[in-house]
Amino acid sequence: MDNPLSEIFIEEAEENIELLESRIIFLENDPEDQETINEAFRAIHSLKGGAGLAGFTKMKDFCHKAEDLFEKIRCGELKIQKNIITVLLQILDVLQVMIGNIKNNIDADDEANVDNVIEKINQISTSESSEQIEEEVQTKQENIYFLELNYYPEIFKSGIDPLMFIQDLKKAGKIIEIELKTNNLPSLEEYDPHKFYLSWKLFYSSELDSKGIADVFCFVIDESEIKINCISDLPSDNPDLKKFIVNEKTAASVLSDNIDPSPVISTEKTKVQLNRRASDLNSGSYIRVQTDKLEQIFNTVSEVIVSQARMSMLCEEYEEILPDNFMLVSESLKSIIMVLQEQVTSLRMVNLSGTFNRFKRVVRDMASDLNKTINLEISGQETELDKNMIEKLNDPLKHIVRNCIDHGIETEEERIKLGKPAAGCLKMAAYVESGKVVIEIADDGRGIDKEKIIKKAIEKELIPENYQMSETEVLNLIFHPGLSTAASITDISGRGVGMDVVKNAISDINGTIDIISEEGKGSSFRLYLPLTLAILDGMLVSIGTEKYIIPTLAILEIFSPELWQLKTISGKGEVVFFRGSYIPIIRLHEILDVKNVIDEPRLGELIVVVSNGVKAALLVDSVMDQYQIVLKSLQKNFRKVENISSATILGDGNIALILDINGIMQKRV
Amino acid sequence: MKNIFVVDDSPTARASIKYTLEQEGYSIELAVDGVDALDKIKTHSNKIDVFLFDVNMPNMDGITLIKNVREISKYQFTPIIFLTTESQSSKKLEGKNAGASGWIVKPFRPEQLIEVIKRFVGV
Repeated sequence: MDNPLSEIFIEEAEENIELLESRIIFLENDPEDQETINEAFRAIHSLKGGAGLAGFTKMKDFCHKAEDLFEKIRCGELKIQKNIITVLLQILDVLQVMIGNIKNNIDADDEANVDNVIEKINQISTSESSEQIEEEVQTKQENIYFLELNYYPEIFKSGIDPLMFIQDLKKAGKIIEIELKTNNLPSLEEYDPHKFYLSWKLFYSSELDSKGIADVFCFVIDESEIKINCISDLPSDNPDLKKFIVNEKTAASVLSDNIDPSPVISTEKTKVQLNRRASDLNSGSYIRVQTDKLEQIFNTVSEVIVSQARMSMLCEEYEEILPDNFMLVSESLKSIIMVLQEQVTSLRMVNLSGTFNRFKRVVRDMASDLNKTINLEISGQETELDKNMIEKLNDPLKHIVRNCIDHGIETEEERIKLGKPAAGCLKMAAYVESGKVVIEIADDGRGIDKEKIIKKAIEKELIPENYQMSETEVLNLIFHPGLSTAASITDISGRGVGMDVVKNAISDINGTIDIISEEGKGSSFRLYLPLTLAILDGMLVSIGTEKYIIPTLAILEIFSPELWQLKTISGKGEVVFFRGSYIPIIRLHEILDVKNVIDEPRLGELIVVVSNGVKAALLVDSVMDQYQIVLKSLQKNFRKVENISSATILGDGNIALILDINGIMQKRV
Repeated sequence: MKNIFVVDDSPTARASIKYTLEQEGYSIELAVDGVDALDKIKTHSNKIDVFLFDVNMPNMDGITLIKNVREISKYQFTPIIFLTTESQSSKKLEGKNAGASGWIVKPFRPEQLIEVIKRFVGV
């Protein structure tokens, strides 16, 4: 990309488009919400500004048109109705295409579509503004007040908590700044604990008028000295106001807003700006950091962890000859590093709300394409996941949702005939369960037709005829490449690729997927994901002289079998009886080609692992320890190795390889 | 659960206040006049979080009751709200001087009552 601004612009633009999308969808349900309209306006406004600065004139011009429309909505000239939402969504589509083109350096905008949308914007703007809405839109003006609260010393004796009023103020507006004055506190000898000596000065922004604020203090206003001033009424040389403005200015310069620096608070304009600054200040501040940099910090912290682990080991080894405090220092270092690790990990954690909210649009569009009515229920969007994972989740989730809507949920007529509510229900939920993040997508549609899957699988020679399979195994067939059960192939799903891609994508991020389906009642897809990609819980096992790590996520149980549990079945090979069924034994040493091992299962240990609903027992010599491991990609540093997913450095400085359980299981079972 | 002690000579008032506040999850103790109230307050085992007194009552009026309750050391700083039909400032001032925290002017809507109670127990 030759334009140096492009990259920054694209990132910003994508954020803005995402925000815009969520706001538009929100407005569809609550068209009156002024704050949402403002947010949408701000998003398109910054998009326009950015496009102009980065030199994307076409986009800037288009945004300009769109901004006009938003402006009309914002000032109440246009009321949001269904047709306007449709146009807004079309605007969004155009913007997405434009940004996509900029990203891929394509200089060919779909002019016809852009013109079409502009035409629609014009139509709406003119038709509605001719019949302008008569009624005066009552916008309440927020004012900033400067309050001085000097309560009477005997306030406690009337059973009043002085803080009560500040809490009340908070309910009706925003406290921008508050200062506690302690200058009336007497010396300790004179101090009477039944008396109140404190007072407050505060800047307060609210829609209330002065009388409304006075009402808050109605129980104490007679005895106390409560001063309420609108800051526009204060003389500009008021020392408190000056201090306030200086504070605000430093904050504002961080926000790099071009605000009039003159400290005169008499014009209407500056008042509005102050208002805006007040709300900006409250929204917290962010620093944009490149993911690469985060990655570097993360890697460095990983190195620290490894070194520290090594030091701990050395400390234990030489405990006798080391001074006492040496151990202490080592221990405190260890706990600090643990905190550091947690904090660094949390930097990469992002909640799922962005991901989930995107589906509101997807579901809406798909449902209307297919003439279905679908309610999307979202819960747990505050659940956090590693940012890298969230990015990799988008496509698989989209596939699953599409499948649910296309194949799962019936048409309205069918549903009514079946006695179900006409509108289908799609649930997306996220929660944390025993250290894993679970994302569940469930529909209340027709469920998966197992007979059909079996028939299809036999047809395609994926399984032999009369093959006995458990329900889970049957359901898992839908992840087989090249199996699509839709009667006809639609645009949305059912091209035969899809579910296998989903499975692979989930495996790539060390996750697993489960299906539960009941015919006529619906299906539910559950994704089990580790909290983060970079750190993995693993079991260190020894096989001969080698050490390997098996991800804990895949492990169900570890045990040493008794003789009666072991059997050899022709065609299936060696199996072990485990919790009511026979599961195959995989001798890891054979796969990994390790010599001098324990090859008698009774003397070694069997690790029961599960991959995509299928169980197997892995034979190892012994289980040594549980580890929190920092993954090092083999592919990046060496090359792709069969049966190994990545590597890690152990506390003693040795390297251990992490087994690719999914890969091993696919080949062996 | 917060305990509210309500004193009013009108059975209707008592019933409606009790109902309104119980809906909000408060536990309510009732008394019919000042003398009854003082008896119950002195023997009440749980600590009361807010008092709600009517002003005009037989036997002992609300203002005297406020003064008496403030004498009890454990209720020295407990919020006392009084109900008054007279919206003139004279009664309000009388109540305040006796040690009340706030007042509600009758007739009031249930929401107003809840709002005032919440202000005092909310902190």
